[in-house]
Amino acid sequence: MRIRRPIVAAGCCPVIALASCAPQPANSQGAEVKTLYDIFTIIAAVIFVIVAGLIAWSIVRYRAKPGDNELPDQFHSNVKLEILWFAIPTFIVIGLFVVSAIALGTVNDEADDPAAVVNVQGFQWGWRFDYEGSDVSIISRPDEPAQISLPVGEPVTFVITSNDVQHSFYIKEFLVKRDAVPGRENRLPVTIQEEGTYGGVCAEFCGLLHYDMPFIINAVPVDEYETWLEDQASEQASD
Amino acid sequence: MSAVDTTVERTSPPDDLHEGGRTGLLDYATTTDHKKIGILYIYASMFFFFVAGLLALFMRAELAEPGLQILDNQTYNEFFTMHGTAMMLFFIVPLAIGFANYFIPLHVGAPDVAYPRVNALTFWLFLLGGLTAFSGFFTSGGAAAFGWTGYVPLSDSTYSPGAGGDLWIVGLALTGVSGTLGAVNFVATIFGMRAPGMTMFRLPIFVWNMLVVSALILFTFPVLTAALAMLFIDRNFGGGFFDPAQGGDPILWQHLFWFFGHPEVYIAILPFFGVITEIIPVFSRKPLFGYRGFVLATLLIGAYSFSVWAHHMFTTGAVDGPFFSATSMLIAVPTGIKFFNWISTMWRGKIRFASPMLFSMGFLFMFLMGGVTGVFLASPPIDFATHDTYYVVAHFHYVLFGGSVFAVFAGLYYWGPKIWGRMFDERLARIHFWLMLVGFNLTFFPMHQLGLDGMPRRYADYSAESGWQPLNVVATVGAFITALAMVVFVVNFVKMRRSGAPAGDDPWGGYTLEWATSSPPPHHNFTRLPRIRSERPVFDEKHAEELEARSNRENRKSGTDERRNTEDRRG
Amino acid sequence: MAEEVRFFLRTALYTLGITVVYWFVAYEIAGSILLLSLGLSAVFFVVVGVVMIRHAGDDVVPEDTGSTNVVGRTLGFDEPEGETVTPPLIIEDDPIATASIWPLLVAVAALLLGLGLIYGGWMWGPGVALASVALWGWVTQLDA
Repeated sequence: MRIRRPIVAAGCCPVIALASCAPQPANSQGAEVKTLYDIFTIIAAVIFVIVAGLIAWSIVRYRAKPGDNELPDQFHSNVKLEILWFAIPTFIVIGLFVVSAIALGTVNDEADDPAAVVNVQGFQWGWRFDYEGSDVSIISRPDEPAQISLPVGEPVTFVITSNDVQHSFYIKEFLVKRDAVPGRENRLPVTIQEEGTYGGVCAEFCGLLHYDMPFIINAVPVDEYETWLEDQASEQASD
Repeated sequence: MSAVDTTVERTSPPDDLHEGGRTGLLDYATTTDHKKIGILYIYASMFFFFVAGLLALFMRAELAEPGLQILDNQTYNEFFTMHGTAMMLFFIVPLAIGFANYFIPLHVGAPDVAYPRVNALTFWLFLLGGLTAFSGFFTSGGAAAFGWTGYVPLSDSTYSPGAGGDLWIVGLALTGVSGTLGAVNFVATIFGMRAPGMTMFRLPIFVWNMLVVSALILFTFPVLTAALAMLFIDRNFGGGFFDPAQGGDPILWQHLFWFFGHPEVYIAILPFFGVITEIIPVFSRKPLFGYRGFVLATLLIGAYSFSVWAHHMFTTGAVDGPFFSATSMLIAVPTGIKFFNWISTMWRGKIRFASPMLFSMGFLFMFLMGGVTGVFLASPPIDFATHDTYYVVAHFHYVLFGGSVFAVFAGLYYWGPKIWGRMFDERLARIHFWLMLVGFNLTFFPMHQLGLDGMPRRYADYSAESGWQPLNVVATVGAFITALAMVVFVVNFVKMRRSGAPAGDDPWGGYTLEWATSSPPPHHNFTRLPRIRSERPVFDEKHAEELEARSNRENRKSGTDERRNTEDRRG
Repeated sequence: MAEEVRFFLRTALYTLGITVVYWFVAYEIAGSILLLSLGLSAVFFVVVGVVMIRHAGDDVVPEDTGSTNVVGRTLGFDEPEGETVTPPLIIEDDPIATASIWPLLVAVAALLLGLGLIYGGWMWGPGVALASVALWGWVTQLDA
């Protein structure tokens, strides 16, 4: 009997621990997602503790005593209770849905005039970035991931597609990904808030080197970004 | 733990002479007996389970360290493709069908299913289908290597040439036809072959679950078959269903696949909800709490499952997030009802923790965890962060392994004595349970964190700088502990077959009709049927006097009390 | 209304309802057509069910009509009020008692036909031949 309690305790800790384990987001959309995730985690933890607690309690409290052959009370329904545990989860779920739908709107909201529009093309097995209006083009090479710079604090839009099979454009610190589908353009708005270097990967299985398609985003202050863009443009013009 | 000796009537094991004197291999090759076909399904499914499990062990061994040490990337891709395909289509669903085959006729009080020869056909189609898909390993290009989800364009002939992909398609098509025919059989049996007194609301919940599962199969397996046909045409006959250059759309494949694929996962779990729902009341010595609520919840889950499919496609940007988010979150409600009803069944009961109940408890905790993470994934913004990462791998293994597989073993320990007439070794069963519980959690719990740390799925390798190694090592250790648990099970199974204690008709004090006949049952299942006046006919018969006395006491106490047992269902 | 019919009618109503909602929420054609065809399939079952059950006449199965006077459809006997009757559970000339080789052969034929799509005529040909033989054997198996 006693060993059951540690199981329940052990069962609760992970759920609570998960709350602190999502990466700290580096973009405004990611911050929305993180807030949403935290709300979900709190509610999930409460539900998990209650339900797991009830199961554990039943296991401990209602274990048959050896030699006791008498039938327990054979009740089999309680309509009020059943309605209650139909209604309450429904309300919880509706609440979660509403919160989630609001966040979705914010996350997908694209600025009318982004500071940069970057066309992203996934291919087997790398990425190509084209800055709209600048003739700047950066492509992954074998053993040299594509490295691009973006301005901090300004909205940027990625326009994502693929040359061949499906890929997925994923930066873990931005808490977002968008699929690269051939024949389709997916617009992904990102507003980076924190300076830094962020590693991106492919997140849709695309064949032999799916695991080896990294790209790098350097988030820098606006003036640094513009300098970088000019340098890239003149370098590539002279190539 | 105690095997309650509540033998109604001991009858001897069946002789095979009804089948024209055939024995052994020829007997099994020509059988139309639902019980033998059920056993064939169980053996074949467990075979695919162990093969797919072996593939997983190789993958886990590979992922313990950065760098490709054991497998090359092509082989790794083939392994995870066939692991997923086998587990989803050649193990979990056929094993459920094995249980259904064996027990639906017994549960409804019938001598066999509605179409016994079609029943046999479904088994052979499944077996041949599974073997066909795996035969890709023996071709020069290797087995299918595009993931069990077969996304285009990767799975078309440009990017996955070779017979492996085509053999995968043909194998799945055969298995799909098998499932559809089986569903027809079960629906006809459940509606049309019930014994006198066996009304729909006295059916065991396992049968209700299989009814809904059969409806899901009927309506969605053909969609898979159609999608496979379209892919085959694209691959081999220059079709362009999914090719943007020819006016097709890769997203169409995803719609078709997931329209099948999501009901498929409910097909993979609902039968096992049914198994658990059979076990918990018996081992709590109480009736099932909220029988009608269970039926309603099952019907709701079945219906909702048709309208959630594109929550697998949130990141494609091609689907309506709010619609699928709403339907996917709603599905948590009927599942929650089941949980509360299971707990209420145990509440104020007298619980015996024999092996079936132990595995059922494991199921409850693990499925709870998996169900909760599912609600996270039903939120599109959260899904944008976690889709196609190990977070998803954690979620579905918690519901499919922590859920269905724990329930598979609960069912095998519960029904094994009925099927093979012998008891398992309870001590070995406990060792199996604890090893599996520890191993499973060690493997899959860290994957939630790995996913949040940004590790995508289907990665044959990762860099040392990613920081993903420590959790991967933990996961790998867990996988080998789970493998050890499986060895213990096999040892227990062999021991049971060779020298297990005779089970008798009713070793557990069961409620439903399978316990009213011998273990194993005779060829046509029953030599007599108890009177059927509730969902617990065997229990009612055994405890008739005591229940009568109780209900008389209750009625004297308060005339308008809640309905009790047989009282309300009598004429 | 018979249980079968009610079951598929509920499915049809739910699915067709969701189809309408889905179309006006998402305007997405693939999913709408999939849902619609699912709903129409369920309607097909309802129609077939109604027609066939009308023809079934007095053969009914136990229903939750509140009465215990039920009749077994396939085993065909009466249960008087308040009593139970042990039905003839082992039926002597029972057609399902016999085993059959045809299911296995039909399955192998299906396999050959499938493989024939990949490997061509030398599998397809034997597949067609075996399918013909096996289906003929199945249909004419007199004691089944």
